[in-house]
Amino acid sequence: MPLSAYLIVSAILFTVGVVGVLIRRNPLIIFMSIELMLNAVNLSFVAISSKLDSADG
Amino acid sequence: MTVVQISFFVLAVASVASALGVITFKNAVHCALSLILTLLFLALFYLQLGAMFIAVVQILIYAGAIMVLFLFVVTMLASEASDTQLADRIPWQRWVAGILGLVLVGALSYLLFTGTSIDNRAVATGANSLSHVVNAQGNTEAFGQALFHGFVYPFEVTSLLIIVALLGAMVLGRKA
Repeated sequence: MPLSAYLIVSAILFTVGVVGVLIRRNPLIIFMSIELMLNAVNLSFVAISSKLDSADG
Repeated sequence: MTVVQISFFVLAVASVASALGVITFKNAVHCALSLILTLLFLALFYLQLGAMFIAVVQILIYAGAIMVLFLFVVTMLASEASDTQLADRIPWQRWVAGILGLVLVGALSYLLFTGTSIDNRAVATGANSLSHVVNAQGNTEAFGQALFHGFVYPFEVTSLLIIVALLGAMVLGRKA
């Protein structure tokens, strides 16, 4: 799969996390949305690392 | 369509759907379970990208440790407090959040499709490349090489940050 496909999924997940932080009032669910954003960024790191064939990402 | 493409699309749809579940379910326990599902799908993404060690760590740490902690907190203190009972909700909050989310996804996709491609960037070759190190030493060893040789300073700063957070949690917990 091309790199941009993974980056698009990562961007969508990040946006879902941002919207979750904005629309929910329960602090616990806001934390879960933050975890979602962190994991979206992790996915883009791993995809870029795999693309560049370097462990530095 | 090859097997890789089919599995990618299935994983992409499933992970985005379960991520939407995290922010739409009313019950906090359902949100936590949906988040566990999202994290497992992300671990499958990592497996697809050949990052075995990251995938296993993702399952162990996130699905195993962090989400259990979340579920404990949900069952102990916050299960009844749903969104509708909190009085300080702004009425137009949902619309503004939707518009801002659309703006963000538009900006991100604009950057993705117009930005400089890294296809022509210098890909590491020879003994420095990740696949070479993985083939020679193994996945975990390659991760450890990167973490403890190139990123020792950020690693130590992270440990300091964790100690500060631990002290903060202790101080806040004593007052309550």
